[in-house]
Amino acid sequence: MSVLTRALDTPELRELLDRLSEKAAADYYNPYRTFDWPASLPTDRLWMSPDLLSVHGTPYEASLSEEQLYALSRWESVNFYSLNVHGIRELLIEVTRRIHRPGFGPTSEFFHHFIGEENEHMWFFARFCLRYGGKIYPDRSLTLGQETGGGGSDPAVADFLVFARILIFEQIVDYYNMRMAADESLAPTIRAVNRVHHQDESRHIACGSRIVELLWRALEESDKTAEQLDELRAYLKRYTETSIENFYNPSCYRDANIPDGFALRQRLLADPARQEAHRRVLSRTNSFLRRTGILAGH
Amino acid sequence: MAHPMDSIRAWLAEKNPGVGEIPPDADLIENRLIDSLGFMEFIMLLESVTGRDLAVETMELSQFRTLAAIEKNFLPGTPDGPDAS
Repeated sequence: MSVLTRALDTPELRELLDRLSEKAAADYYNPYRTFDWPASLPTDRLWMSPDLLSVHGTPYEASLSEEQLYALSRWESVNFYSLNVHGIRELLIEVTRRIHRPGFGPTSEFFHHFIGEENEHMWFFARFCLRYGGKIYPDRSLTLGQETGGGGSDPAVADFLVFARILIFEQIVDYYNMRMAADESLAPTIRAVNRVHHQDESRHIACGSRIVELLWRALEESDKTAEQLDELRAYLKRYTETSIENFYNPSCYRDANIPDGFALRQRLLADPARQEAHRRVLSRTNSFLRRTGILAGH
Repeated sequence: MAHPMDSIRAWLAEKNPGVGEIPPDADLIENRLIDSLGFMEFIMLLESVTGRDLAVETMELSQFRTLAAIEKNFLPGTPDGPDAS
């Protein structure tokens, strides 16, 4: 019996996934008919909640006119949905690779719901970008072929990292979704896209949390050394930081007619107000990582 | 005005404290001076110094592998660059 088979074959996970699969089937909707897509969205108001903007709370925010903030909110919302498009594409590739692989039997049924829903999310996020921004911001990532986590090509390490990255990505996005779904100042289409995504993601996050914890326990109980586990911890800590930093896209500043976007990004990232904002966004993620011991000692 | 390669060298030095002078032909990926998590910010910097967007998805890793390759592929003709007369 492989490490993975032992890890995921628990009565508690099976019961959780059965429940989530039933709920996914019961809540199923036709995404292609769910939303109103007006020809345009009003440009005399924000497209993102003000506290989600990358300049929020900094001295730089006060130097921008109302029109500049509106423009920035348009491009930062297109960036947010673009990040979703790229993130979903990567997670679909990884989950599809695993759906009927030995060891993933307990999760296969739920993964079918997950893959179907994620494909639909990618569709409505891409549609938003193309309809209202005229583009999807390009993905700047490239596979460098570097091994991570001291595990070489160890599939147990690769499986853990895939699901940990998916969970962190979904939790960060969910913070934005919940805030915008509840923000009555935003256009109805923006609120609806965020609300519907949050509803589906709550199931994905519930499933992902359990899978990540079980895969981590399996690694702890395997022959991995303390140094190898620490390397995984350090990687995930950096992954989390990098994920947040993707919200500071110099292309958004340029499109909002704000000069020197890269320098502005560096200044904003160093601003104490932004560090505090990151702590709020990452609160749930860090609580989970600490509770499970994944970030212990860091 | 600083040469664009100086900005790239400064960024690499900041991300890799204690590494010292990086030879033009040193493999930045192999030596982990740029890793997958740092790569996206590196591209943002490169876009900033070149003044144009880079379609990373259509590019080869070899174009970014050394400082010499970066200068040749993205900054030809810049002051003090390889094509300067």
